[in-house]
Amino acid sequence: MNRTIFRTTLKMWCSSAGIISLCGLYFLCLLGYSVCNILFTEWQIVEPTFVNTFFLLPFIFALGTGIIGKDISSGVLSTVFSRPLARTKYVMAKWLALSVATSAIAIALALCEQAVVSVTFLNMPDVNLCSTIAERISLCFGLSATMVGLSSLFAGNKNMVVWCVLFGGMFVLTQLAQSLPSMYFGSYFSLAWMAQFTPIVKAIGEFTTSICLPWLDMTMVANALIPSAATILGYSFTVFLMLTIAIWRMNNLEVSYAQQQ
Amino acid sequence: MLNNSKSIKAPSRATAKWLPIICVLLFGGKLVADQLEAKFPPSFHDHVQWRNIEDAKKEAQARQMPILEVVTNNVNGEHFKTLERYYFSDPTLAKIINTDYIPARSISTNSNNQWGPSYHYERDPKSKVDYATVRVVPLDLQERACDDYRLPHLYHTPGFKQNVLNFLAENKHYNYGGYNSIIAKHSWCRLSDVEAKAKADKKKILYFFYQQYDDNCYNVMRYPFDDYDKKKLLDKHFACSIVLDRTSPVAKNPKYVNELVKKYEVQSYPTLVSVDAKTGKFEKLGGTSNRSEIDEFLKKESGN
Repeated sequence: MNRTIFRTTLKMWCSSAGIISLCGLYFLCLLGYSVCNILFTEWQIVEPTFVNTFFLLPFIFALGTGIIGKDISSGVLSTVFSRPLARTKYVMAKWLALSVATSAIAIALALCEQAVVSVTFLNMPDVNLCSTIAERISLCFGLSATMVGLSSLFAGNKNMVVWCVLFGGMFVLTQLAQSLPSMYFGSYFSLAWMAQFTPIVKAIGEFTTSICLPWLDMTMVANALIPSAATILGYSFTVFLMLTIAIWRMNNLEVSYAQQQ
Repeated sequence: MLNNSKSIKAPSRATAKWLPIICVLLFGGKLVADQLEAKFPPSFHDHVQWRNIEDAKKEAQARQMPILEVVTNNVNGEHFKTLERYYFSDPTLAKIINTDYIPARSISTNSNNQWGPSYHYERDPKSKVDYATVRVVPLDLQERACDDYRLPHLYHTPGFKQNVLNFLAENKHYNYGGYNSIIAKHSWCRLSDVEAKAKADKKKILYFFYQQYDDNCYNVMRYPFDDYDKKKLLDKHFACSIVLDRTSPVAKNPKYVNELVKKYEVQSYPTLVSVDAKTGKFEKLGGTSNRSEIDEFLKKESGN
């Protein structure tokens, strides 16, 4: 990892008024939602009502949109790569910057929620806090890899568009896999004939899901007698795959001042 | 010059040759793990102290507590494993279940209701649909006949643990006796008897077209039918009967239910149909659980 790139990327986000204000506002909204749940619920509270892990997606999107693609389209890369810098390190620095920044936000949010519960109900932090933080960090690191991978393939902010298309595709495929066995087209296609495609559609849907939302479901990992190897390997595979794609793309990208002109 | 040229030498681009190899290994490992986990499903720390249903009934009577019953056809099925993974392996939830309820697990190849006589439908064994239903059987319903759909059911929402906590807190004291008891709120007529009873008592018939596992239908069940104040109005003016829609990929409605649906042109659930037993004229209110609309409909139909 290149520390200069890492620091520069973090500084770039910190100096952007738009990103700071949007993320700050969303952070306060999430915290407010959680606090309202804690204070105004009519039910007994036995543990902090942490907001759902997927509510953190907007932070990753705000910071990760065009994380490499913008450098490609604006021509900054030709300046960056004119220096003695390994391209692998450039990709790793970008990925780590995004992961660390979003993880910091996620941890801060969880700690704030826990603080509110501790002050209100005098509850001490327990294992739920750890599992919530671990789950959020896994999403931040996983989705950051996806954003970096897609951003290296598509210039500008198109990585966000591609992610949305993949997410839509995932939704359609998941629904299709569920409804295929009961889809009835009269005598043209029998139910059994339709049902034979279910495993294929399901597999493609699951693969798209793992690319779009790579995370470790801590109820699956922590509550199991033996942690699910398939879940952990699948998550690691997605992260490595997206980073490999990004590095491969960077290594094969020809950038020069002449090209720009 | 030579030194300078050395210092600005471009770094190697092939530093990440090991990454694709790791990717392939991970993918291969994942495929193998998937196959293994399909054959040997992962087990979870099930912290709930399960009883069989007979022991649970005795213990519930002795300790005056509600039963939390899980009905499943396959404890190794995907559905039950999901419940185990999200609920029963969670120490907080398991602790509440163990202290506030008598947890019981019953295995059934069809969803027949052991708590009451009227609801039963066969599932097609060829369809291999595994199911697991979590429901609470309050103390007063353990001795009296009741229908499955009157029992509070837990709808599975993974990731929203607070919903489960709410459900457990809400139904913990669901067994208070008297008029607040769920079964005491309204006495339903059977579909076969409702017409004769309405004519004899000079009341209107009120059909409640109900679909299981539908939130709106459940809300209408809670209001007006489970509401103490509305019970007086309903008892005075109506003979009420439930028409349960059982349509699913593996089950069909009985003929008489289809006839009623066709006769009263029911297009959505829940639907309330008020029928004049003498003339056969009917009015209906469909697709809503809005309390003010229901109040208005009942007021109009009761002639108040």
